[in-house]
Amino acid sequence: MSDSNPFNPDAWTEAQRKYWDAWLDLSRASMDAAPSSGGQAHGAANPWSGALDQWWKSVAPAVTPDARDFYGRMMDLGRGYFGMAEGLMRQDGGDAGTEALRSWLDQCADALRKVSTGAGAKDDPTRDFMAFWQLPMDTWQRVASSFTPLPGDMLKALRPEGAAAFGPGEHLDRFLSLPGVGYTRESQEQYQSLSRRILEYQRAWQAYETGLAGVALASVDRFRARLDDAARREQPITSMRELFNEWVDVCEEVYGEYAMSDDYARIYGDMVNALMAVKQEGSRLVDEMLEGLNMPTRREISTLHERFQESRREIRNLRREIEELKAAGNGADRQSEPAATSARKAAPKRKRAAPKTKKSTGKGTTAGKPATRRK
Amino acid sequence: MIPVQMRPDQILAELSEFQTKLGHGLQNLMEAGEIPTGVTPKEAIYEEDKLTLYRFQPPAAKVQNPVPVLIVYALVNRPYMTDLQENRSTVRGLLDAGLDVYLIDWGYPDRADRFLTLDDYINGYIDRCVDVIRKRHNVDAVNLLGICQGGTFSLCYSALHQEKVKNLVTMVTPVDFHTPDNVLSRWVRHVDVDLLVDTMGNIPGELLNATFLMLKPYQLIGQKYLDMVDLLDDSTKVNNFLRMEKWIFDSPDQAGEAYRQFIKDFYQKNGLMNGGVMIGKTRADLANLSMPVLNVFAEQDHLVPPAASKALKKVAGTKDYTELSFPGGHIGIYVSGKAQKQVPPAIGEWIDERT
Repeated sequence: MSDSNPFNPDAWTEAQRKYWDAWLDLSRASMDAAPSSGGQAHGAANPWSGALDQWWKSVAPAVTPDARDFYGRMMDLGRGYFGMAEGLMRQDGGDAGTEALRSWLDQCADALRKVSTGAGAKDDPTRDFMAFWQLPMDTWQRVASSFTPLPGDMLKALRPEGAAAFGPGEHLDRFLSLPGVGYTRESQEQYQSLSRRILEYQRAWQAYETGLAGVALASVDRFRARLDDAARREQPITSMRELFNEWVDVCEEVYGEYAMSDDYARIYGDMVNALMAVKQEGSRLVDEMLEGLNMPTRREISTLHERFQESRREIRNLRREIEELKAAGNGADRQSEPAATSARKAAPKRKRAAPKTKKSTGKGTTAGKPATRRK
Repeated sequence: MIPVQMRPDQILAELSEFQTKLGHGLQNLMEAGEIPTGVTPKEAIYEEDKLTLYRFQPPAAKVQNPVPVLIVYALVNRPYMTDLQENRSTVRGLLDAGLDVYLIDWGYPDRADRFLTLDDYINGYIDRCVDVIRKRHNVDAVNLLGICQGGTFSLCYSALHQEKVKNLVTMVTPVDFHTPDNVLSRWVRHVDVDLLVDTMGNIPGELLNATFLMLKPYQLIGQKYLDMVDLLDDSTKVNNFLRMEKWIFDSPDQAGEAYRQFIKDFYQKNGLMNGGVMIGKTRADLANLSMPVLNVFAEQDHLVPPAASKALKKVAGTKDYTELSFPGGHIGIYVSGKAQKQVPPAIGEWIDERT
């Protein structure tokens, strides 16, 4: 490292640059040897974004957790950005012009079609860039796994081809609908019900993923049209960042249109509802277990909370009524006294409006004094 | 004309520069430390459950409007957005405009608060805060400034307690939840809110956050961080970015019953446009709004589209209705430099004219 900054990447970058140069030369040589391979002969690895990852892995342990999380987000995006550049450079032995971009977009479209059928390959050269397309899906998965016991990637393992082992979908449904028998029938039915809910969630989740893959494919077409438009307007794209920003705009535009559609609203609603059904069923099972262990259940605690809030409302209403009665009593007392006519009219209104903090807590509310607290 | 003109060495140079910025920036990020928010000195005046009512310290030499302003912020996200940093503070702007500013901080509800209803929030918490301020200042009515969902609450409160509200200001406040451009409203139409609340109890802040991010995922989860790399060598910009980032992800959970009612009555039934919403035992009908109303909205608001706010004009009963449009977004209206110069002074002037 060249200075006191332990994260200074200058030396690393220099070494990396040499590596990239060598890799580029190798790519060109390889392309010359096999020109018909369409850029896929270079293997599945993405060396630039891979190198970015290597650097991050080497410094991440020294980074505070907050900064690590934040930087992680930038690294995620950096991979997509690098992935785009790599995709371009792979084409035609390293040229990075329009044809290279078009060819690479074709590859992306192919990969997206695979994603939409649940058959995305892990070593696909467009993998890092695909992650960018899947941002909405990824966000949902992170959130869903944060409040359910299901691991975020569980559904990836439960692809339809796995369920197909049971035969057509309706066979599995029927299998899970078999009536329970014997002493443990209730327990069996509960687990069957949970399994059915998980399968329903999987279907809803997949419908959402398919919808987003459609958005990504439409984005590829729109992006091509934008490039044609740029050519017509004679305003060429001259930097990677410009290209990437244009790409983001297109994705957002196409996604925005889809997000406004009734189709999206229905698919989104189905996915949320299906996840909630899974969680509800799981909570019910946990409550049953807790009850068996003579432990307090969520259901019982919720009942207590509900009654507690109802009691607080009743107490407040009673307090209010008492204060109003007191105010009315004071007004009646004053009315019986002579010579208090003009002030009397305004008084009850003030009294009624005045807050009850002082009486209930005995604390003042003027500036500089401790805040009033009401339970 | 070739639409893409880049040489391989040029791309390499760009990526290399990106990498270098990442490395240098990490040091700045590590030195950022704790990010302070809520910069204007304030005093806790009243507390109840998780709620705290604050009064901001006014500038010493400023002549003050005798009628204080109560800011009612949304339950979603934290209210320090109104006082984010020294040069980005709506609160500071209002103080400079001669207003005496109070703010309700709702805190972080937990499972014990799950059964709080909109009645508890509006006729309970807000009303008691208003009463505390009225008593402190010996006034019959206060100025109410509602922000976003807090604006919707303020509209309901003002319709139900007209005698306690002198002037009403709403900022980026949804009124018509069924305008064609309201994405959130479309999304919740097919969500089974009863199932959601019955299952989750309180609604996790993370869920709401993800929903907001998914309105513009490629920009808000994606491009923003790439653009950030360009700012990493400037520690001031890093701190500003981190402060905003902290606010965005600082999302309290939502009390379940209040959320259920808000989504059903406002988002799904569009109650405010259809004769009002039942808050407790009383209908909050905006036709009952008799006080002057200033409605401030953002022209590029993707969360509360301008049309959703401007609908207030159609349903508010007041004869004194003013609109103020701001050329920015839902967040920019509190924090952009332009907003600081325009919005708080305009609010101060409008209130002064009516005090």
